[in-house]
Amino acid sequence: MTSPDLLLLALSVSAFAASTLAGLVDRGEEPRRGRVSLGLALLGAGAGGVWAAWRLVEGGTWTLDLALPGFTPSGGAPTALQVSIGPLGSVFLLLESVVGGAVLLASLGYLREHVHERRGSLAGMLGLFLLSLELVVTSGTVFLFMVAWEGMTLVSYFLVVHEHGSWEVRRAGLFYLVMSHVAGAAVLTSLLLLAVGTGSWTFAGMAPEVSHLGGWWTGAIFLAATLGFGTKAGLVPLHVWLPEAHPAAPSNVSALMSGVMIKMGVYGLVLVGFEILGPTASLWWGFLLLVLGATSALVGVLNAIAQQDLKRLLAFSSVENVGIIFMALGVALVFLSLGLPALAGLALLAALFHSFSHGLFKSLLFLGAGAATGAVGTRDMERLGGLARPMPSTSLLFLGGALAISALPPFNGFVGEWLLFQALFASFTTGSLATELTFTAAAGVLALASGLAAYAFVKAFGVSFLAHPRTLEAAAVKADAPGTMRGGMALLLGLCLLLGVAPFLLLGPLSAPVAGLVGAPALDYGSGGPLGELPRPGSQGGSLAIGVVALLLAGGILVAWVLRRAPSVVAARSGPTWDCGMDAPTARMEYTASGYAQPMMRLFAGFYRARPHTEPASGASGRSGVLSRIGRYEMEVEYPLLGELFLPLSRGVERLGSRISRLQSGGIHTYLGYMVLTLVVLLILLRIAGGGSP
Amino acid sequence: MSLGPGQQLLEVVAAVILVTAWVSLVHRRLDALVGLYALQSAAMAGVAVLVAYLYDAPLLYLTAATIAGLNAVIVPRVLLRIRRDLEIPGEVNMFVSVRTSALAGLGCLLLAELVVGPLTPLAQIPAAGLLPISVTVVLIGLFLAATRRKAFTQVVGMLEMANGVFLAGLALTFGLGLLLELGVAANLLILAIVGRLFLYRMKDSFDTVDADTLRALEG
Amino acid sequence: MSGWGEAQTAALLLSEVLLALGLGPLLIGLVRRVKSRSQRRTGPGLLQPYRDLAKQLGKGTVYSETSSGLTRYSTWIGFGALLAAVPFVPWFFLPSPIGFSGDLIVLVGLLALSRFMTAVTALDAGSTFGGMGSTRDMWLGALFEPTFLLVIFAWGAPSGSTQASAIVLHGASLGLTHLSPALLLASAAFAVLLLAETGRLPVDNPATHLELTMVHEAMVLELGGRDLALIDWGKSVRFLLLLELFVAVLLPWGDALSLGLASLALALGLLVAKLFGASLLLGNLETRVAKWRLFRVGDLAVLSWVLALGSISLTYLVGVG
Repeated sequence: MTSPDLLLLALSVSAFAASTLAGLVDRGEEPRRGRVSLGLALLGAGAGGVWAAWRLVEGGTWTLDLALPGFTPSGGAPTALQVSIGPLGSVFLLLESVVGGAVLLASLGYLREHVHERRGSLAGMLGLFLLSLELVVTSGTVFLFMVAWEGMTLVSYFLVVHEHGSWEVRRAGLFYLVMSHVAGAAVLTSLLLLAVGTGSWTFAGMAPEVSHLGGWWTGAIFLAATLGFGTKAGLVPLHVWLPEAHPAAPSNVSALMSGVMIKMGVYGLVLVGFEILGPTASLWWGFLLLVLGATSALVGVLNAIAQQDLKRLLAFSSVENVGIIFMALGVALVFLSLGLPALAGLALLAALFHSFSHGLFKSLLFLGAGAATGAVGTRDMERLGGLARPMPSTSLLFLGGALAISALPPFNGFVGEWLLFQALFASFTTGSLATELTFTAAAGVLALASGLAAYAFVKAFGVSFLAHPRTLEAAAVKADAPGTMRGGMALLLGLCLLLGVAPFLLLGPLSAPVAGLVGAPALDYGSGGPLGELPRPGSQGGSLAIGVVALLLAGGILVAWVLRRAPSVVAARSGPTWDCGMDAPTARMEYTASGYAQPMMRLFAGFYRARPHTEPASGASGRSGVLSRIGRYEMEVEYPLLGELFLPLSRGVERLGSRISRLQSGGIHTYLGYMVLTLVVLLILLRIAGGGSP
Repeated sequence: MSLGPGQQLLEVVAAVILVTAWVSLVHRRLDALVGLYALQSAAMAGVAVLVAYLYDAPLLYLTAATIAGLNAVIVPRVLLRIRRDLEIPGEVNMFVSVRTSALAGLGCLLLAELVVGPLTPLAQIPAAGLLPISVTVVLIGLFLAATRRKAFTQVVGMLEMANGVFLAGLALTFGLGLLLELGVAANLLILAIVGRLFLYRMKDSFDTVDADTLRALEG
Repeated sequence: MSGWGEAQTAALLLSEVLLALGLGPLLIGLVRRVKSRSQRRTGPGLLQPYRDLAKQLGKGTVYSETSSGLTRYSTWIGFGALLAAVPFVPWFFLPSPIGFSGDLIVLVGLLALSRFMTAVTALDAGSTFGGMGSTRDMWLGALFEPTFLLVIFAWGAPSGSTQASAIVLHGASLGLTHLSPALLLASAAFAVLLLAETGRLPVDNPATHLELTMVHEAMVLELGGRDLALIDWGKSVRFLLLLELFVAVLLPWGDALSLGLASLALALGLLVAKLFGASLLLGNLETRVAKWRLFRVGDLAVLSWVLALGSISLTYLVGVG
């Protein structure tokens, strides 16, 4: 077998493995340490990317049975090892490779500038992380999938706690680990139920058998999968680990986690919900996902608005985008169960496209945030500011990412939301008032979420990068981000723009996998029409040739430029900002991050449970005059869904924990040891269970 | 959907009634509330005229004239007069926020469609939207009366409810049950008078028109 | 688009853009004129907005020392986005020459892009007023974006299209039955949106220069000369776009369907008449209402959502009946 598949797989896996080893044993000079490892991982990502692209061109599924001593090669046994990559896996492998490659490139500079300890091991773990991600999307059996899944969780845990000197980082890491562990259990439950129900341990073998399963059975599988994969994806109310773990991790790790890892939750749900259970989908599955997704979108973006920590803001925005993706998945499931596969395909296309888009712009934004926060030394937006002058490229790239994530044309974020709007609009063909109203309301939620996202990102960009530096540290920044970081970010922004202007470049390759998943003939998105317009399903909806829109935009900007640049009698000058005739304006007179958020916090005071306290000026103190009297305004904010929801749960666990406290030693490593032990025991059990029926 | 222009106009006027009910949920001034009620009643008279014309029920012209005179002109004037005489402050005080009220207004429409929507194709009614809209107006009137603090607002809410009941009667009976309309109209008058007395009494005894203060008398 | 010469397409497109650029300031002047007349003032002449634009275009620019390079290019992008939005609104000829390339959702996106650029620019100079205007304007934008989408859904439901041309053509084909309650409800929601999106009373007072109550004017306080001209001109184009969309959907009759000279002239005349009528109404409305407190505008936004969603549910009812 001399197919390029095997070659590329072997190249990619061995490059990642070599990168891990190289990173862990790297004893080079400290600032340069980790470079070899990153280079090898880049090679792995490149090979993976080429492989994914090849698979998408080739179509069909490529399978490789691995015969290891002690493991039965056939698909019948629970411990069978099978590498299998279908169209769906290829899509996510492509995402991983593209985003991974750009982030690795940026990591070259990031490691040198902003990581101060154990650069080698961080680089090595990045390689291992990418390997585990690749394994997740190429696993063909339950066993391999679970190994890769748990491996991904463990490696990402180590990445999160890389800067484990601080207590907060360790706490965030543990929180993440515990929640991921519960999620892993739910995923395992779902897959085991599937395996037991269908009698097959390979994903390919399950799909034909699910029609024999009853509604309760498939419903339970779907619920467990939603719980497990939804936690990994960051779906409300299972998202609580996400805003803790993302800010704690180094920024290049946050970029990978937010850009790629949480998409594994999406991958898993599409795998179980569509590829395997698709034909048996019930109506309530779709509505469940739609409601969860809409809630996530709103809760995520409203929380993002309130943040002062730049990376926490980005993390909450990931919750929002995952919400949008799950809304699209829900819409697809509703259409699927109503027997409208072409519309389901449109919605699923929106979900996959947006997953891809979010991977691109969110990793870009995390890298930009990493450059800014690394240069100043704090993540608090109130202490940044004025960075657009010393860091023009970084701020321009961050602005591009902000435009893309706010779903503005001509960037890819807009195309994804446009597709979802069209899918929602198509509900008018169903003739059911409930569906129409729900979907229209969902369109309203989606519009509100994207309007709020624009609000959050004007705030994030404006407060962090524009106006006066807010602190001496911010004023001391002199240099832009390192070249490789700018290169990585420019690559990502270029792709955002490319997919925004010519979305059919991605929609074309996506349409065949989507058609396979929903069981309908593919919508022809590949050609893009003579002018690049996207066709619509049936006669519904609108059409979009975003390339033409971009041309119009360019033309409009040209007109504006001509008007602006025509020879002028008076040359442009510069002067101080107007300040009502007081002293020269200072950074203290600028709008702060919390000030910017205030109108929204006031409007949604019920959501934030914001309690404003106002103390009037005490009359005699201070200088005379109106302006110098000092009053006080405070606003207390609670972050909803963090405290009370998990409080009873954590109390119960605490009680349980105190009973078995003899097993506790207090160290994280002990707990990790328990987890490994559990995994081993589980695997042995599987081996025994499978031994009887080879 | 082959609606004649007459039915179309009927639907539009019914929609005006619906919108006045919704807007009355977001307005914070008592005078505006009364104005909306007057507009709603005028639209109601319009519905009566249209039904009379379309279904050849000349008696309904009489009803329309009654409504136009009584509900759209006299009752609002009386109400405004009462407000001025009693020096009731012009603000609407409410138990729930305006935004919640507005969404509740939408909820009322959805509930109405859920309840009477299935009946619509069965009944021989002049226009499909009429029945759900009438139920919605009843619900909104009830909501208005229930969630506003001042007795004055509660009276307006009840009047809107009465409008809704009348609209339902019109929709269901094609305007043939003249008795019903006259009854409703009479009820309105009585309601207005009772309301006036009620307000005066409260003003006299408690020197306030905030119904909430009545709670203090409990137990 | 098929069967058309490229020259015809280009000519139509160009004429639409020129129309938008030329007519926008006139409508602003008309609304001001109506307001001043109904307030018994003489007021500035109809052509004053053009004079203002000419004056600003001839002036030099003063940039804040605090601002970065962003201020030097963001105004072009904002203005360019508005010009790019022009062909997605129905004007006098249908179907729109390059309407196939986008629908009303693209219009929403382009308007939002323009808003985003202005709001970011407002933060660049580090002025308190810029921040104040920026946060308020984005706040309004976020609140009314759902209204826009819901109205598009409600308008588009009968024709099954989110494209302005298709909606208008379908509406015109219905005759008077086009004016259904669902359409009127959705249009009422759009009217509220129109006031908010273009900064009219009661949401924002376009005539105020009192810092603490400004929304739009506070954002552009630091701009001058040609940048300010682009912003002001852009604002009038935005106003014209939304007003034209409103009248075109509400009264979809009279657009030219072929390229004959007579029909084009007639359509153009009707277009101007509709726009003038709408401006007169708007000017009258503006003299009657006072500016609302900013946070009450939230109530207005929710009311517009309710109107639009109610319209959808009525669409369904009428569709059955």
